[in-house]
Amino acid sequence: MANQTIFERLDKLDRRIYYWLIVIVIAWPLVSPIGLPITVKPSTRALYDGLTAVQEGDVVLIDIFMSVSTWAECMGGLVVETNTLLDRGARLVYIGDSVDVSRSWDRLNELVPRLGTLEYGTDVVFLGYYTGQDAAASQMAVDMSSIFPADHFGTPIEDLPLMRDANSATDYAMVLFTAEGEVKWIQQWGAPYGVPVAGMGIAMKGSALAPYLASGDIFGLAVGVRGAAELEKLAGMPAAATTTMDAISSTHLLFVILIVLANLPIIFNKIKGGS
Amino acid sequence: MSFVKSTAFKYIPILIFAIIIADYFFAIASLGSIAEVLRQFAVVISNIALGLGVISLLRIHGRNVQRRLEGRWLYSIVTIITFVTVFILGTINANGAQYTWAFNHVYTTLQQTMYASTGFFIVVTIITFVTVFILGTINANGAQYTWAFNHVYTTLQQTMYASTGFFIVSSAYRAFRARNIDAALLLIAGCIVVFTNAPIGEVIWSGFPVIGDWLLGPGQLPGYRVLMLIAGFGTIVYAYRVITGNERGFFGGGE
Repeated sequence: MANQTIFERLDKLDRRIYYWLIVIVIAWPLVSPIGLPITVKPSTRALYDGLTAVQEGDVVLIDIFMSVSTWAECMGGLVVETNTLLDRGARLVYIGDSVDVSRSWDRLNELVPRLGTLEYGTDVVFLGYYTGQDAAASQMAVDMSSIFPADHFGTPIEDLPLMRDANSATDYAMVLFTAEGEVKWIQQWGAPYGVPVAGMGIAMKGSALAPYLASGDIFGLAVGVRGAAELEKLAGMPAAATTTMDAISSTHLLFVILIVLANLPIIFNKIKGGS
Repeated sequence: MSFVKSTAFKYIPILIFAIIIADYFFAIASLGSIAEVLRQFAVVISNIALGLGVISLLRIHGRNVQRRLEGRWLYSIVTIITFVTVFILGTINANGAQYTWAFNHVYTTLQQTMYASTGFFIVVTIITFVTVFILGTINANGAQYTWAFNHVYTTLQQTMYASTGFFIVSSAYRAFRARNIDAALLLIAGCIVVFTNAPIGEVIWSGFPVIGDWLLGPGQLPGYRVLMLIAGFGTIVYAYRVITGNERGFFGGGE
């Protein structure tokens, strides 16, 4: 150990050291925010512009694919989407193919208190959990009531005035996906019925969603916490995602520094003429 | 049986394929209602698949317990007991129409139970289980179950997801080594994308987001499109094989 060079020590660095470093660089900006500027990407702006183009009375379907584990990435964006659409007077139908969608619905109601002041069944509906992926989305496009005979709370769908106006794809102004699950909406609602599709992806979905964005299959996209923070900036309602961005910056910087450090032994070895 | 296997199983998928494809691409009105029924079948079948998953879960963990498989059987007991407990607690509050009941309470509870069981494995299994079990049995009218779901399950899920960040950094430190030109290029591209997503990248150098956006856009689109096209062509070939009766893998067996 005593004879080891600094590079050899770096090569065998105890992982607990950088685990603690991560904890510190996450906690520090949360306690003492830096406030680095956030530039809005064109795809996020396109999503926001689409939301603000919704007309009063339009019905929007929001698919909450995210589980509680992805709240940190997507909940901020969902809050902005909901607030923006409500500002426009849109009527909202929420569904979700994540088993804990009811928890996400509860959390959304905590973060957007005015959802609770709306007339349930007329302005907003929570249909709850569904399964079946593409087959379900395809069937919803022709008859929502066949997939959801009742909403999440057990109210028969025919007793919900909003659902009388929104029983098939052509009744909807747009579909918004959350976290994942975009392909079924593109294939089953966007392509056959021309319903505009957009939404938010978790960070690792950014590159996978890029082809759909480039081809116009989705008209807008916010990716990860960054996308949520951009939406918060556009809507003028900074919240959790904006606060988190400083921690994202510090951890990403640490990430790159660690990669550089990890590569120093290889570079050093090459300089010395090693293989 | 041989007729069913050789003829019916061959032509039924062909017929279903033809109806669904014709309905999607040509919107033939007379086929619409048939396609609708078939799609509902698909949804129902996907529900049944969950039941099979539960049977599989109970079989695997039941076998672990029966054989006292070292290092596993205690966890399997926890899984089975958790399953039964959460299943019972979740089904006590049944209300509404039968379908709503089955869908909202049985199916959802089963799914939640499966997910929660996974969480129990990963975190301190026994402590979590005992906590949820005791809280659930003190009052089975639903409040405790809801509490456990809201406060235990949610926390576990978020912890699991957050802890991946540590593993990513750890694996990056140990694996992201520029041992050759290809790896070096990948590393550089990765670091640029990292700085593109973090506001600090733009502060360090305004060129990071420009290059990063190019990498995420035109830089990677051709490759991703090729992958998607290959998958699409593969699906078409698979569909053709099903329609012509040459694809029999889903019948099971080796015939």
